[in-house]
Amino acid sequence: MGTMTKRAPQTILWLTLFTLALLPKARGGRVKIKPYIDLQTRYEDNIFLESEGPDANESDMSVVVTPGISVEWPVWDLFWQAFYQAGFGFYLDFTDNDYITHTFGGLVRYTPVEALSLGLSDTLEISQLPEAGNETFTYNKILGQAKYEWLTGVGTSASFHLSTYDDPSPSKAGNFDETGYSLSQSYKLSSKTDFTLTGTLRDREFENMPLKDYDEMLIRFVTRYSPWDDFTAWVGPGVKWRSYEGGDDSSFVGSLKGSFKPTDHELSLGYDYDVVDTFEELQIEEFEGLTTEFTSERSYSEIRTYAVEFTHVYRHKFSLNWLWHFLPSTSLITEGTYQMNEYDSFISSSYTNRGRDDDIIIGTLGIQQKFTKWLIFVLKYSYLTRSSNIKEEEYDANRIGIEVLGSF
Amino acid sequence: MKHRRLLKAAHALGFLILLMCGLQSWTAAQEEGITQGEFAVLLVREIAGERELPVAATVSDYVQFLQDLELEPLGGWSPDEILTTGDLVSLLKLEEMTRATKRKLEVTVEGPGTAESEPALIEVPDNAYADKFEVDSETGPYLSAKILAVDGEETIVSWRPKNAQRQLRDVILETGEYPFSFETDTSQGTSTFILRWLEHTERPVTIDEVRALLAAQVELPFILPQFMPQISPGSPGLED
Repeated sequence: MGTMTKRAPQTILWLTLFTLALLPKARGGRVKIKPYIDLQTRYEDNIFLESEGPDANESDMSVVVTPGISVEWPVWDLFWQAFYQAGFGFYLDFTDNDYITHTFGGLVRYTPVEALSLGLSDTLEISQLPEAGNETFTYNKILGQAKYEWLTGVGTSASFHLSTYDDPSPSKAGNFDETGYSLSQSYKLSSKTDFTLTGTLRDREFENMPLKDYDEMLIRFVTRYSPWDDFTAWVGPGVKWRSYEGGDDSSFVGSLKGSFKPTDHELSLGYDYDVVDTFEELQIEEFEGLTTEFTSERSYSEIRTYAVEFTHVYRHKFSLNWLWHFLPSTSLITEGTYQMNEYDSFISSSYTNRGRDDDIIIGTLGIQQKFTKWLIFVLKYSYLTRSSNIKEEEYDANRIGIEVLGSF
Repeated sequence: MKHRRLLKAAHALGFLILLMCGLQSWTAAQEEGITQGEFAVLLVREIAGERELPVAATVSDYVQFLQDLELEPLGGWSPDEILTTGDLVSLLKLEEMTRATKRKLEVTVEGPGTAESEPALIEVPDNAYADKFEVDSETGPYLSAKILAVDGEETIVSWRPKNAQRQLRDVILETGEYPFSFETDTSQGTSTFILRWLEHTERPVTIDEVRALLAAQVELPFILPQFMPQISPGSPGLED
C-alpha cells in the first residue's frame, strides 16, 4: 500500500506526459451531446390489417413519443458513443397495444492508423406491453469489426456478432442465441466504380423449437457505379444457402437500385429479390407435419396449444422514392412499394401459409416542412392493400399521420 | 544502488523523449495543416454522421459517406493530400453563396468610422470568402458584412432593407442550400449571424481554422437523415 501511494504521483506524471505526447492527435475532441424527440400521431382505419373476423376494419388513433439522447466523444484515436432512446406508444381505444421501449447503445472505435480501424458496439432493446400482461421482450446484439486498407481503395473487413432474443411467449419458441461472422473485401476502381464481395455466416440456435439449429450463409457481390455526379447505380447479386433440420437448400438473391439526384429532386428506384425465413408461433389444436406441441398458461390464464411454423418467403420488392424540394424548406414526399410474396411452409395444415401468394401495394404521399435546422414537420397519407389467394389474409387500410421531429 | 541510478536515468530519458515527441507532434499539427482525410473525419463527426458508418470505419468510409451526400472538393477526394482553402470552399459550397450574394443584394456601404453611404450593389471580391453578418435588434433589422479583400484591408458593408433577415434568407435559400446558421446572442440584445468565408487562395488550412469553422456552427448544405431506429415489440427477423 505504501509503495503504491509513493508511486502514485510518479504514475500520474507519466500518464500526463503520455497524454500530452498524444494529445495533438485528438482532433475535434469535444463532447457532443445531442438530444432529440420525435412525436407521431396517426389515424388508421384498419389497425390490425384484417378484413375478416372480430378485429377487422377496427380504427384507432395512436400517439408515439420517441425521445432520445446521444453522446459522442472523440478522444485520441478513440471514438466513444452512447445513446439511449425511449419509445412510448399509446392507442386511444385498443390500449392492449400500448408499448414502451428502451434502447441502450454503445460504440467504441479505435483507429490507431488511418488504414486500420477496430470497433465494438452493443445494442440492447427492451420492449414492454404494459396493458397486456406487461410482457417483456429483450433483444441484445454485440457487434465487433476490424477493417484494414491494404492499399488506397482496397480494404478487408471482418466482423462477428452475438445476439440473443428473449420472448415472453409460453412456448419460448422464438427465443434464440445467434452467432454470426462476416468477411468482406472491397475494391475501389475509381471514384465512380467500386466492388464489394461479402460472405456472411450465421448460426442461430432456438431455445425451444423443433428446428433447433438454423444456419445461413450468404455471399453477395455488390457493384456501385456512378457515371454522372447526380446518378448512382448499385447491382448486388448473391447466393444464400440455408441448413436446418429437415432440409438444406439454396437460392439466388439480388438487388438493383438507381439513385438520381438532379437539382431540387431526389429519386430512387429499387428492385430487391430475397428469400427470408420466418418463424411464427401458431395457436392451433391439430396440425400435421414437422412441429412440436407446447402447452402453457399465459398471463391472462388461457391454456392453448402451440406449434411453430417455419416458412420460406420468396420476396420480390419494387420501390420508388421521390423527394421534390419544390420550396427551399418544403419537400413533397412520394413513396411507392409493390411486393410479391410467395410462401413455402413446412407445415401442411389449413392454418398455415403453405401455398400462399400475396401482392402488397403501399403508396404514400406527404409533405415535409423544415422550420429550422432542428425542427421538421411531416404530414403523410398512406394507402396499404394486400391481395392474397388466402381470403383471410387480404386487407385494405388508410393511414394519416403527422410527425414532428426535433433535434437539438 | 547502481540499479536505482540506472532506473532514474531511464525515467529521465523517458520523460525527455515523451516531451520531445509531444512538442514535435504538437508543432507539426499546428504547422503542417490538415489532410483531406482528417478533415473528412472531423466533418462527419460535426454532423453526427459517425453513427451511420460501419462499426470499424477507416478514412475511406468517412470519405464515402460524404461522397454519398454529394460533398467533395473539386477534383474529388484525395485523403492524403493537404486540405486547402479552395477545397474547403468547394466542399462547403460557399462559392455558390458568394455568387448569390453578388447577384442579389443591394446594400449601403459603411467604412470604419464613416457615415452610411447610398445603397450600392455588393461587389464581393473574387478572393473574398470570409464574411460576418450581424443584426442589431436595437436598431431594427440591420445586416453588415465584413469583407476581407485581396489586399487584406477590411471593408464593412451593411444594408437595411425592409425585411433584411427574410431577404438574406431568401437569397441564400435560392441556392437550395443552408450555408450558415443564425445565432442569437440575447445577453447583448443583439443577434449575430455568422458565416465564415475563407480567402480564396490555395493555401493549406490548419487544424485551428477548421475547428473555428466547425465551431461557428456553419450549417452544412444538406439535411442529414436522422438516426431514429424504429422499434416495436416483436421478434427480430433474420434480416436483423
